[in-house]
Amino acid sequence: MRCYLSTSSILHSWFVKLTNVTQVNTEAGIPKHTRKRNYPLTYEQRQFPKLIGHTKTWNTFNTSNLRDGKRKAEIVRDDLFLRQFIYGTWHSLFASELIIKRRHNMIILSGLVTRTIHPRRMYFLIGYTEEILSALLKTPVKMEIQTIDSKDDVIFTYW
Amino acid sequence: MLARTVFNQIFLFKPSQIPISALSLNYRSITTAARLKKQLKIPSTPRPHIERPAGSDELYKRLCVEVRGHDPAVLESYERFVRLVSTELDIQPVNIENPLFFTERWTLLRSKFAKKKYWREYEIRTYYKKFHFKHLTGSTADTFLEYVQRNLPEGIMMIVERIRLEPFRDNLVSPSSSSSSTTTSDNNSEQQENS
Repeated sequence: MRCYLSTSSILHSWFVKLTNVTQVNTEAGIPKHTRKRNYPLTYEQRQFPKLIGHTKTWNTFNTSNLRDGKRKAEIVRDDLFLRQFIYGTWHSLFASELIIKRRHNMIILSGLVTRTIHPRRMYFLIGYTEEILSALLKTPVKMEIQTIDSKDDVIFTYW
Repeated sequence: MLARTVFNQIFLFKPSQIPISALSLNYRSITTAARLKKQLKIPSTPRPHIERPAGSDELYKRLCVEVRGHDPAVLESYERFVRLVSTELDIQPVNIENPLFFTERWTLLRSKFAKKKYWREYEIRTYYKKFHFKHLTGSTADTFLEYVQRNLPEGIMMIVERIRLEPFRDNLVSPSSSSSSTTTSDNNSEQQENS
C-alpha cells in the first residue's frame, strides 16, 4: 500500500518536539483528507479501526483469545510471519489484506489477488507457498485465493 | 497498610486489578471434569483397562458438547447445523443451553505518555452454548462427534464431556453378603487376600 503520511520516530522525544500538524495530529489507521480528494481507499481501509466488530471484521480467526484458549503468543508470531512471507513472495499481487483462518491444526490463507502474472506462475506460487509454509510451521497450510482483474476493482472511495 | 482482604481488594482497586479469585460476579463456566478434579483432588490416572465381551459397544449415559466463540451469530448458525445433524442421526438433544457470556476487561491508558486521567476500556467476550445428549452408544457418539467436529468453523472452540457406563467390578461386594460380626482386623485380612 502506498505510504502517504510521513512518519517520524522523533515526534515526542526529550530533545526534539515536532509541532507540524500533519505529523502530530495523527491517529492510527485513519488517513487525512487530501486536497484533491483522489487518494484511493478500499472498503477495509475506509472502515476505520473503531468500526471493527460493526462493519469490519478481523483478519485472523482463531481460538487463542477465548476463555481457556491456548497458544496466544505463538499464533500472533505465526500471523506476523505469514503476512510478511506472503506479501514478499507475491510481489504486490495482493489487492486485499491476507485473511488467516485456523481450523483444527490447519491454516487457511485467503485474499484477493490480481491477475498480472500468467496462471501457470500463479499455480507454482500457490504450491510453493503451501509446501514451504507447511514445512516451516509444521501444520497443513492451504491457500484459497480469489483473483480480480486489477487493483482498481477494489477501490471503494477516494479520500 | 490495610490488609489485603477480599473486601479491601474489591473496594480499593479498579475492577481490572482485582484478582479473579476475589471477584465472583458472573457464573463461571467450568467443565464438570475440572470441578470434580479440584473437589475430590483426583490425580490424573490412566484409563483402567476393562475386559468387555467381543462385539459389544461402549455406552454413554450423557454427552455434553460445549461450544465457545466470540460471535453469537456464528454460534446460532452452528446450533441450527447441529440440530439438523442430530435429526438425521436420530439422536434428539435433551437440552440446548445458553450459559451467560464471559467478558475479560482491560483498562488501559489512552495516551502513550502521562495523562493518567484518561483511560480506555477494552473487553473480550466469550459466548457459550451447550448441547446435552442422553443414552448414546459409542459408535453413534463417535460418528456424531466426528461429523460435528469436521464442520467446526474457524474461531470456535469445542469441549466434549462424556459419562461412560462401566460394568460393576467383581471385587466390590455388597455389605449384606459379609458376616455381621467381622472386626477391623478381619476386614484387613480380607482386603489383603483379595488385592
